[in-house]
Amino acid sequence: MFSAILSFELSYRFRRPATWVYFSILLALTFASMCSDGIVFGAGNVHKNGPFTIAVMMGVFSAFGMLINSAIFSVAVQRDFELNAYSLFFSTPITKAGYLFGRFFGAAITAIFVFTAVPLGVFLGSLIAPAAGWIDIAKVGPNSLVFYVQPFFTLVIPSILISGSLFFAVATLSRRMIFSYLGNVVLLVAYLIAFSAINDFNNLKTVALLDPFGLMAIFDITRYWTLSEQNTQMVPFTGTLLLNRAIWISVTAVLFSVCYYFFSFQVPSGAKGKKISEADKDTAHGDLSHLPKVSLVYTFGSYLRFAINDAIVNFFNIVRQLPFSGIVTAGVSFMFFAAQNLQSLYGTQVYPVTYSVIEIASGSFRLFVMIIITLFSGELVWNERELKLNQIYDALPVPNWMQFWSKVLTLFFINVLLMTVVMACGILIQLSKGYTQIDITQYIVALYLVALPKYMLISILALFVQVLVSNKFIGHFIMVVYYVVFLIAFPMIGLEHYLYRLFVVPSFTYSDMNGYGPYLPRVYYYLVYWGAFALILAVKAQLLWPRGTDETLMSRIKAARTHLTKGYTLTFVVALAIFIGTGAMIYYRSDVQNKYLTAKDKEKQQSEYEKKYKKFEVKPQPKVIAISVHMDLHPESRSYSSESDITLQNRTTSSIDSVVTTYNSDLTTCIIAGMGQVIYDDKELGFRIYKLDKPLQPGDSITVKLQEGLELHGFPNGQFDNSIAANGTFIHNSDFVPTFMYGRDRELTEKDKRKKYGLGPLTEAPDPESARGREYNLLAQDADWIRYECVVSTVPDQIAISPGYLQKEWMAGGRRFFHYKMDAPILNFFSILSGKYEVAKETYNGISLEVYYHHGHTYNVGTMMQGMKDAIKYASDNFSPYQFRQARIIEFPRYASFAQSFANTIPFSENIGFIADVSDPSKIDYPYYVTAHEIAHQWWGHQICGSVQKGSVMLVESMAQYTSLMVMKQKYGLVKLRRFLKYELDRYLAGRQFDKTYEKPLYHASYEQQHIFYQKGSNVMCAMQDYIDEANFNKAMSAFIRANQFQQAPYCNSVDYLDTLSHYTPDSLQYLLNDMYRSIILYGNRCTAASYKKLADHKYEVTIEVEAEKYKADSMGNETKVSFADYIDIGVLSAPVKGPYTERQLYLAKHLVKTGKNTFTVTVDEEPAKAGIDIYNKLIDRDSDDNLKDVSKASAK
Amino acid sequence: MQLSIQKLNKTYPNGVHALRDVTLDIPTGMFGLLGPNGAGKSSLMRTIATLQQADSGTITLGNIDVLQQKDEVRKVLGYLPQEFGLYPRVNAEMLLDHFARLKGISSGSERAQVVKTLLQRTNLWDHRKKNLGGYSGGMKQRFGIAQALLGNPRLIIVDEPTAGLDPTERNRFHNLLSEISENVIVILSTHIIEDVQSLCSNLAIISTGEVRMTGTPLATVASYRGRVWKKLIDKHELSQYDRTSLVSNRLVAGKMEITAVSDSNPDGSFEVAEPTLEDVYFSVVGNSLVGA
Repeated sequence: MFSAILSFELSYRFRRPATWVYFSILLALTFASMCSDGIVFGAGNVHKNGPFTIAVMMGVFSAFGMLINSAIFSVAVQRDFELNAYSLFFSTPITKAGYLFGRFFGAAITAIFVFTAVPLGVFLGSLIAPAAGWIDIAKVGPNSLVFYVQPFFTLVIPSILISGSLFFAVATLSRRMIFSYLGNVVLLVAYLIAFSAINDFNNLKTVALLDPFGLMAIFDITRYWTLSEQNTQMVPFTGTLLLNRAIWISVTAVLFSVCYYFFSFQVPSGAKGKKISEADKDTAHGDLSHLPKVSLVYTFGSYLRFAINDAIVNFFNIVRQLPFSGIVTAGVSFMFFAAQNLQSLYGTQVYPVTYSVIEIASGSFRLFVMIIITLFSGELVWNERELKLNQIYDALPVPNWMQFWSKVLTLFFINVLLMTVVMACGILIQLSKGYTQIDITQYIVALYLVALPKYMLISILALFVQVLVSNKFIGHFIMVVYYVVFLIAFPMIGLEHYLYRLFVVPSFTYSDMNGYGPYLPRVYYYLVYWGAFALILAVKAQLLWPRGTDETLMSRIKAARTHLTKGYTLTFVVALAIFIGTGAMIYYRSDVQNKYLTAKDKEKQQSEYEKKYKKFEVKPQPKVIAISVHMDLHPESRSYSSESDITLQNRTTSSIDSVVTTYNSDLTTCIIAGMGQVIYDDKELGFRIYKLDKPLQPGDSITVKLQEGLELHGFPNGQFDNSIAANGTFIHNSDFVPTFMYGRDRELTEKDKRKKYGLGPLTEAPDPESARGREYNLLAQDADWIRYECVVSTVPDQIAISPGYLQKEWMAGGRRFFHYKMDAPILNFFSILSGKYEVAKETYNGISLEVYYHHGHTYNVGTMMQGMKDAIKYASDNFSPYQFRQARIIEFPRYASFAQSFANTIPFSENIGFIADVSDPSKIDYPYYVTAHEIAHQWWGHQICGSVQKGSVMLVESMAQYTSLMVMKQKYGLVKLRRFLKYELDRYLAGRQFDKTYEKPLYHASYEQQHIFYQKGSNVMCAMQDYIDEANFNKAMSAFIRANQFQQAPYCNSVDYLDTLSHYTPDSLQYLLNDMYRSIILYGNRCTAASYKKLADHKYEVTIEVEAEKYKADSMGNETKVSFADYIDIGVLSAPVKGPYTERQLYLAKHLVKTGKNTFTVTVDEEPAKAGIDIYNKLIDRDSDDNLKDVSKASAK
Repeated sequence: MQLSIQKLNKTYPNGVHALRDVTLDIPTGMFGLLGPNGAGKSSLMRTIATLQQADSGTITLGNIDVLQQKDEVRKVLGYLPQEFGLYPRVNAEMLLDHFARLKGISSGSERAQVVKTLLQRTNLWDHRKKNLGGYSGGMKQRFGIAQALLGNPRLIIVDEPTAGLDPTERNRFHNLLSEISENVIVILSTHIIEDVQSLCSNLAIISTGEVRMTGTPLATVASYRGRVWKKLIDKHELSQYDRTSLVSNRLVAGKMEITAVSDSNPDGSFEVAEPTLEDVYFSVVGNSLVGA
């Protein structure tokens, strides 16, 4: 019985073209992703056919292949109902088990066959792609059968059965396909929630179990895998992955049992609702020949009213359907879930300001709107035909356009409803977080004026597609292909221009400071442009509207000619004219007034620059010694012009006859007067060579006049230049002042990219052990320390700011002028800001502390003040005096999310602190932390600035991290700091995976390796001060800074620092300098057991068992176990006093820990709750979660 | 006004030649279009109902060119297709009102009145608030005729309306059809001979896409008087007869009655019989010998 049904099912399936189509799609997708450099599963240099990549690809494809899976499983039984074949099957003497199992396993075997396309595609790709030269041979490792087989059995097959059983059960019991889509959406939401939850790594273990496709479990297991592990080791079928599969297979079994239990062979009752039993008597019977006379009206107006009426009927028909409300509910739940994590940074969220809530609400709901449009456009176009009502409908005296536009109108109503749902939820989210400053205008603009028209474009496309195709599922499929191709694939393969990305309208960024900025015109040009194109499609759809029984596209095209009226032609011509017209206008704005450069173009420019001008890197150049800027800002017209005097001095030992400059080629004007003759100018790359009128002798200087200007017009295709903004200008010196050198920072750093453009390996900065590179400082290599002053003018209602002290402020010609002058030398590193600011001022120890903030952004101004005070106090007390009399924080719009420290001037993004909600004391107060970090740079960066050598970045960033951590420790205590250090540790370990070069020890870190000099730097510095004592460590810091502050070339480096530090480090701990700074060391410490027993004197004896491992890693991530005996923290904590991270430390001391098992017994005064090793995550530990364990009460012996 | 069809041809993409030079003049009153399954009745009906293109030929309704001026035809057309469904979750009154609007009855009060009248006359008034998903076959068919009569159509096309109805419902439906005004053209396509006999003033018999005969039922039958011969035989004797000379056979109380149409007694053993429309039908569409 079973086998008969199974074999019938299989032979049916394998004769269906659909099976082979699915197979081909998966094969094509996997093969294509193997052939593209752009598509990467995992980190940069990982093998495309490595065991890790294969496992991830299998996870990804089984997750996204669920669409195919649902098609295969849903129809297994449902088709009998759809084709009305059920009565034939159900009347035969088959058993329920035979029928259900036969169909289910038939579908399962088919699906498994279809998904073998994934390993096949990877395998073929790994052979063909490098051979054909599409990808670098280094991207492919040796193939091994087991790399393919193992994940296929552990990931793909269980995933097929899991999602398959859901689809099978839903479709079989509901007997309608649309419910199976609903199942799809539910799985999708589960998946999306899982995906968004991994932002907070603390959830990863839970998420790993929730993900039905096991992908998150892979990520959990391989969280810190290095490159070499990724390329050689298979993801083990243990831990969370095994548990995940076990859980989900049980869920499958339950689902299938439910399906089995409720399924019955009874013939469906047919129609919905109760059957009407009609009394068999004829009551009122009149004569049909004398019906009331009616007047018939056929005007445009009446048709329009029909269309509206029809749309209202359809609208209610759709919104009353369970699948519709199901998808909306799923979307709304996802939205609320996503809103739990509002722009979280270090686990701290922002206040639910309107733009932030709109972004998260409409962003998370977007996918669901697309699903609804895709599904219900199909329902709308096909409804009458599916009900067999079309013949009646089509014979009615209504024009085709009315039928088409009533569907458009229906989707319009639906989209309006959905936007209203988003708005209602958004407001609810704001209110539920206790936030009441709701800006309805922002909702209306974002949802009804931008998102709604965008969705209508897609709606018209979806209707058009459904009109063309001969089956609505083909229509759905075409729409999915459309989304993938135009929304995802095009930009990935370098087709970035919105002019040809069908119905894609660029987005906008709202900022409290700068409102909609320059974004909305671009949005509206594109809405008109694609709107006109949608109208063209609409005309075609009306002409090809399936009416009557000649449904083939060919016969409809033939018939369309007879429908062609003047109205259609006119509409078509007008729409075409608008389309072409706005297209031309857009082209003028984005490609003529602005430069259109794709990411690839930019890479190519970078490589060209290096190829052409690298030779000038070693050319002797004069250094900048003084700059006096005169800058006129015109924020309202997005332009500025400047005239600056720059003094250059020959500090080399030979005479200089020519000067090279690298400049910003986007500038409208860039002239250097008095420098001599321009003998070479590359306007595209921004490189110029001047021949000096007379050679500059050693020690001689020259003052030149720099005239720079920028006028922004139209709009770019890509990122807007927001350096000059209506409110919130932030111009960096590199935006307008040329650098007098070859700019190394323009070089491509990624290994693959360099290879692709024919560049040799990156010439890295010299080692700190060598003397090379000491002649330049890290922050501004074309200068040492400069004299700086600046006159800046702006509009009267704005304050303009630049480093230095305000000398004078005046009005002239209706403009407001500010003159700033610095009385001590600074680095050639400055900025000019202007905005409508409110100002908070305080004085501390004769230092004026100022915060310039946007009206209303008062939330954290006090915190920032405190942060400035505390950091200045800590650094002056421990390192050296503060060199300025003033420190200023200045808010700038959220187009970028960082804060940056210039001399006495700290621009601070609206996005990273001004609206952070730090009212919950258990959260990390990052506005305070960022402030402390930036203030610390006034020492580390602006007093000391290392050489251009490997590891010098540590002297700037790791030191600033250290300072801010110590400031935080003073304020919040070590227990809370642990939370922060855990973040840092995790980000370091995760960053290792994505390192595009090779890992270096901290003292050799290069400028791209943020995870090393920020994150590892934090941990290492913190640990070191802990080992040798904070005061002692700070003595070393102080000695180092005093010895090297404001130095001219040669500049200090990381080796100099380690030399200083080693003087302050006891002999017994000298090994730490090697472990922490000079090598890559990882620990695998964990607490295996902890118990306590109460002693007589109200004390508690705690026994702690730990296991310790130590690994030394090489640059490729290969780790070797080393045996050791190191001093490591053993600690005991109380239960939390109040909320998370409020445990009291009961015991903490360094004990000598040896490789392997160790047991410690300590005595504490209070009842212990947790105990373990390295409890504050000071060391680099590959799993920071297992260091602490709950202490159990030892059973009395 | 009359509907005039001239040399209408239609071949489907799969090669089926559905209509071959169909030429018909259809006056007002009930016109029966009789033919076996697959004869081309529905193709003809759909073409007249503007749902299908013809390859060649013309159809005129009064001065409307049916094949070109589709919108004009639709304004005077009432169409009840052979097989149709209705929105399951909408009630009869709502849907009829919706159709009435689409037919062009834009005045609300007129619409309400005509909807009410039609629902009453088709005996659906009591069930007007019930969802159409619960309607029985007969009720659905009556709803179908109600919607076809919206907007005072002058051409009503009813395609196989009684197939699948029980005798009571069929009877009820016949009564409804018979009430439709004599002043409009009603085309009733069917393969049930009785339908035509009891309702139609004119008829055409169509088979394999061709019109085989036209006329009034009475005159048609009358023209066969004296040419229809019948005989009772044993079942196994059928093979002894020249099958081309017979038009039909059927079982009567265990015996087999065979019928031949001929100017003279085929072999002398037949008896002349009073012709029926059925005899005419079989003689025109070709014999329908069963089981031989």
